[in-house]
Amino acid sequence: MENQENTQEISRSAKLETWLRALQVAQLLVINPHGLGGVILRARSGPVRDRWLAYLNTVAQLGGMRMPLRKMPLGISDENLIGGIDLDQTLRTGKAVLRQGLLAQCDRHLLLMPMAERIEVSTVAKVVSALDNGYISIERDGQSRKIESHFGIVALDEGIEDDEQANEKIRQRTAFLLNLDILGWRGLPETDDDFLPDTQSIEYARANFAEVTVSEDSLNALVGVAEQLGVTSIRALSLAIQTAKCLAACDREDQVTSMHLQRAIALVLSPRATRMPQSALPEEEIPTESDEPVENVQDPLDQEPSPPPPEMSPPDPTDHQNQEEEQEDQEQETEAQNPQALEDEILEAAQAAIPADLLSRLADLAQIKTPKGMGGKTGAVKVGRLRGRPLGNMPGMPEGGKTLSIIDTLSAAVPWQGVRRAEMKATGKSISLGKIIIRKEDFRIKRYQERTQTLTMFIVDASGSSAMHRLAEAKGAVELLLAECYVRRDQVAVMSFRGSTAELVLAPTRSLVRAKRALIGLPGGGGTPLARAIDESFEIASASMRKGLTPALVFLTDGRANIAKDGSPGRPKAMADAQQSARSASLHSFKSLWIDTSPQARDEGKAMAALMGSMYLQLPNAGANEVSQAIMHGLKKTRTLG
Amino acid sequence: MARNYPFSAIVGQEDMKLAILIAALDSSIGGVLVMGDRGTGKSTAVRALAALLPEMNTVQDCVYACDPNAATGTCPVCDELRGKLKIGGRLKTIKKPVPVVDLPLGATEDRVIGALDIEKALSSGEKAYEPGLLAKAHRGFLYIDEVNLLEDHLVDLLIDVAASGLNVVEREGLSVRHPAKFVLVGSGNPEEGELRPQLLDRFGLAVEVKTPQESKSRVEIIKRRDEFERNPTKFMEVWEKEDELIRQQIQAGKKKLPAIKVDDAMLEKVTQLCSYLGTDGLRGELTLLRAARAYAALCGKNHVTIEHLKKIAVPALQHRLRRNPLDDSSSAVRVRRALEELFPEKSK
Repeated sequence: MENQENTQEISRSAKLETWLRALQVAQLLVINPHGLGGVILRARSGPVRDRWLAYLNTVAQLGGMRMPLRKMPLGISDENLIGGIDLDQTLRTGKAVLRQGLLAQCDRHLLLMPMAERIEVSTVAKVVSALDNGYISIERDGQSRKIESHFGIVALDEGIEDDEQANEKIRQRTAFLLNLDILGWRGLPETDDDFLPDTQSIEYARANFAEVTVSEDSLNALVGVAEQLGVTSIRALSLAIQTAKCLAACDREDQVTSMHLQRAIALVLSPRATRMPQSALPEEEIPTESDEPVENVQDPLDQEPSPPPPEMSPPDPTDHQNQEEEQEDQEQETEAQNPQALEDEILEAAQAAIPADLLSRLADLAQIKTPKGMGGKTGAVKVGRLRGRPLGNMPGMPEGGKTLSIIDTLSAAVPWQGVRRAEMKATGKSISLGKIIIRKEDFRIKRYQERTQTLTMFIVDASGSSAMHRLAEAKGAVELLLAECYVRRDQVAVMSFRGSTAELVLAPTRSLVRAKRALIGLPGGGGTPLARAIDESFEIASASMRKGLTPALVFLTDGRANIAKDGSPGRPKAMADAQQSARSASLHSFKSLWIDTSPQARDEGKAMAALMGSMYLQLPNAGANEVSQAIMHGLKKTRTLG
Repeated sequence: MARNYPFSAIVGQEDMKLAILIAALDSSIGGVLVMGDRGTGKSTAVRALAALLPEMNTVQDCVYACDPNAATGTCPVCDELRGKLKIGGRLKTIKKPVPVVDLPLGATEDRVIGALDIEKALSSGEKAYEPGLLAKAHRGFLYIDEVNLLEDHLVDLLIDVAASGLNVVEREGLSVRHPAKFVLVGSGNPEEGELRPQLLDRFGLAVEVKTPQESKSRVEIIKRRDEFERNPTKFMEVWEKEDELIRQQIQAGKKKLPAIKVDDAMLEKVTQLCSYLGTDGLRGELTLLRAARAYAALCGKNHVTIEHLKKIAVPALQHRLRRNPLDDSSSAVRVRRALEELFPEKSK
């Protein structure tokens, strides 16, 4: 909620500045697509995004690219992406002919990746490996080749929630992260034509950026600022240098000046900032209250436009005044230059460019411990041979329910027909023309990728300490969630623990009726055997994972254990046991949510949740509706941080 | 094609560099797995390795670049060549660079294990076996970047061949078996998926890399990168001397390796450490012993000391520990703790 209000408060001039910065990114990408890696454009499909893409397209054509952007479809096959054998040409010519993939076609151009937040990690890995190497390594269909290709990436990230983001591998390698969602169509200038560079300057910059030098002081300052902003990646540093060089080349300079460095840092490092620099915020720790830091960020944006806004007009050699000014700047700098001063100056500019909503987002993220071993995906993925989205083929016999891929089998058999015919003839067998000889090794079976079903498991504290009415709410929440799960065809299970045992009252099911029946007779009262509950629930969860489900656990308890693992009463031993169980549970990388049901927040519950790596929610007086809402929201959040 | 960044110019990451050198020195240790943060020079280090390896003696006409001293029966080509020799004759040898072969993620099975040459089949109807990546990597290194994203059926293949050292291909009535002994080198990011234990076990050493935090080394990294990109030829010249020193170190170590002594007390310590940590199977003990010997050889020593053992214990064992539910500290910490408890620092 708060985010949105803040976004609206961003002044018109700040919006214009963001837009101009976006236009500059487009220019830089045309100058050096491969060296800068590219851009992640976070914006929903709409006029603003289209306008930016159109601008990029125009600049790229001015820069001599004929078809600047090549689109990569979401579920692209390896064959289309990397390349493979061209069967038709190969058969016709009798020579092995290679068909180039999309990546090879993108050489010196830009690869457009729509819906970047949804691309499979294996596809991303192949793209970035080509990006890193500068060539595509083809080891496919009997072909072994390396094809040079120097492309840049334009990833369109249409994610809405914070947890939907383009894969970290791409984020690491693209210099620019633009967020255009904060811009409205109305805030934009009438036309972008005034900001179009001319062909000559693009060509000059392209030919000369590699020769631009960077002083050691600048490097020191860059590293210092990155540290202040909490940017750890070495790649980000290299990309900032590359950007500064390109900016310098645009201004026809042969050395990176402090101004170029400032602008490069604003473009590359500021969007990656993970903390506010110390000069702006006395405490070192990441702020958790969202109000204060946002003010901090907005101040420099709204009130004092002291850092020079990125200059957008193409460098014009005739613009003497401009150049003189810059030179003056430079002279001043070189005179009064000590590295610390340089660093401070740049830092100031960098602060101003930190996106306004970044820190409130950070506060959000800080609440959740990153689940171990999870990719940035929604729900685990399983490669299977029976159902799901097609994922290519592999050699194998169509048995045990596997499906034969007829086309792939035929393609595999075709090249060998000549050899086989000759062989048949030699052994005296005749085979009529027009028939294809297929052998066992030709068989190809289809592979599919399944999005696995989620199992949401409730572990309900039915002890005396958890007041009886909590149980009723839990039941209600389970029923509401079940209704939702039914829509998504997910499964639900319920475990209750009281006295000295934990009992699975409802085995994993999708049936609403069964669940209701099981929950009606759920008794309450007795001790709190928390350790057992944790142990057994994680056991069931890992068993369900082996069956192909993705488990998520929801604990509803006050966290006050008083029955030890061996069934003996006594709070200290019981708590120690529970903590031990929680620790061992954290080794499984399951999503989990800890809902503290005690009337007042207690440290025990919070500590337990932290040990287990669960997200912690305190819901003392919520009804069934609120609980189910919180769960849905919470699980969605924990899902994709990784 | 872009040049490889020189090994000696890599800033920091001492654990990773040491593990790679040890694997280069003694291939029987069985490869290195490098897991960790993005952008820490994992791939750079592995690719730079190729330049450090001394050339190897190979049988001249053998496509698999076999060792002339290899036993008969391992390679069909060499056996055929030997059959043609006169009594007392020797195979012709030639020096070749040690291969460092990339296995890219999109590779198909036929290119990995080898298949029939499609062009020859089409043009002349001839059935000729074309060796795949496993054959190319024989006696060298097979590098898989993003090893945890490798497709399952390729992983199965690799595990099988890495265990037997023999690649068997059946196609079109042609049956080819050839030696494929290679050192597996893998890198990846553990957050994107875990490795199957069977594959994990194939790696002799495992190291974890982290982004350097110290600003001095961070400046140095980007400075050298910049110099390298600006003028690779000059940069290579500058670092060639350092690389040459490492090359000599490896070569001297290789010569020394067979003579390295391990006394019974040290063997006892190896066993003690492994049983204390509860590593599965004998592989841990063997690797630890071999790695300690290789490390001693690399240092130019004649005996394995407790210091060698301590230095190498983490990479040799950390990926072989079972998860301990009572202890959520990382495997490396657990190995270090065990070392401290079993072999405390003597106060002098």
